[in-house]
Amino acid sequence: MNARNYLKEADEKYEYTRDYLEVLWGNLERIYLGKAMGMSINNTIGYRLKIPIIGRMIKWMVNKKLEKEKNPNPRIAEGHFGQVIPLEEAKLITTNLADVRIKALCPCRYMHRGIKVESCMGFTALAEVLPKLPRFIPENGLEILDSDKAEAFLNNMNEEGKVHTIWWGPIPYIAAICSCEYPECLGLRTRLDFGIKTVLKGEYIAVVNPNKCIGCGKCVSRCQFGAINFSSSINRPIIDAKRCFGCGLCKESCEEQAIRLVDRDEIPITRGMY
Amino acid sequence: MKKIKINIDYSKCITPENCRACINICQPVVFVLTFTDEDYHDPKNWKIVPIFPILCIGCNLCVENCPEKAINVLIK
Repeated sequence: MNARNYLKEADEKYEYTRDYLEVLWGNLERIYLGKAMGMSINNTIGYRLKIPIIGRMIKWMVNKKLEKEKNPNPRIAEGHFGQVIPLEEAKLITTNLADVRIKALCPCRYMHRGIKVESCMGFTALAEVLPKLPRFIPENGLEILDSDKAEAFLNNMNEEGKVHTIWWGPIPYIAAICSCEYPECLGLRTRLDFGIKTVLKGEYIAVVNPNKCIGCGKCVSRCQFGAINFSSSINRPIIDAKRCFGCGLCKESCEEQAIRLVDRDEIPITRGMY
Repeated sequence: MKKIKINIDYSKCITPENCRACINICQPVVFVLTFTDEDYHDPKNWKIVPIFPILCIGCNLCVENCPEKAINVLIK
């Protein structure tokens, strides 16, 4: 478990957490299409990023701007910074660190598919902010979850094949844990389609144990990042470490426990590749 | 690189939230249900906008599936 993942102290340190979250969640759609991602609503978004040299420059500028957000400005909620985490850490954060947990509607899926799914879990500060924003409130109202329910909810989302992600309010305060999917998630989409680092990779990398693997191929379809290939000549999957986000979905699906998560920093090639 | 232009006729596309034919059928998710300038916080007034034409693969599924025939895809 990473030392960055703490809740209470960070909440007390930044007394503007609630203001920040209100601005951020209130204008989420605008921020996604707006200046933080280097995009505008005038239909020209992707083209600018795909132009060979100019696109690379824009990407570099935006990524630099996002990095700066580690010293957050309370009045300008700009990025929506997140990181992929495996199931165990998501459970640890929800059960041990959070005080109040509520279920909210996913704004990303509403934007991209027009459907209302309760797949986001907001914590203490966000739970105070969300009632002001009617867009995120489910039909039955905001439900407060106890730790058992929250754990069951996370297990359920994992079975459905959704990636757990933490979303920071002002960094390092964890405001929410979402269950994301490519291409519906705003953050994963900007990361994978346009190369803008709105979501960081997880702290781990999945590794296959060739002695335990029986070659059933269940893990291949679970990967949302295209990191797993099934090689029929050696009858086991190959994991591309450079593409792996360390979400652990493949690990949960493996009945033989042949996949384990290794610390990203232990492998020299992927050290610091977030 | 081929430039793709997608136009939506908003005089025909009136109830995007109830219809959602194009955003459900599109594989690369080119369309986004998003805010208009006047009403930001009320999703009832949101429109479907083709925000990522760069990702369009030109399959024309949206054109065929639109019940109002409001979408037009131009590939240059």
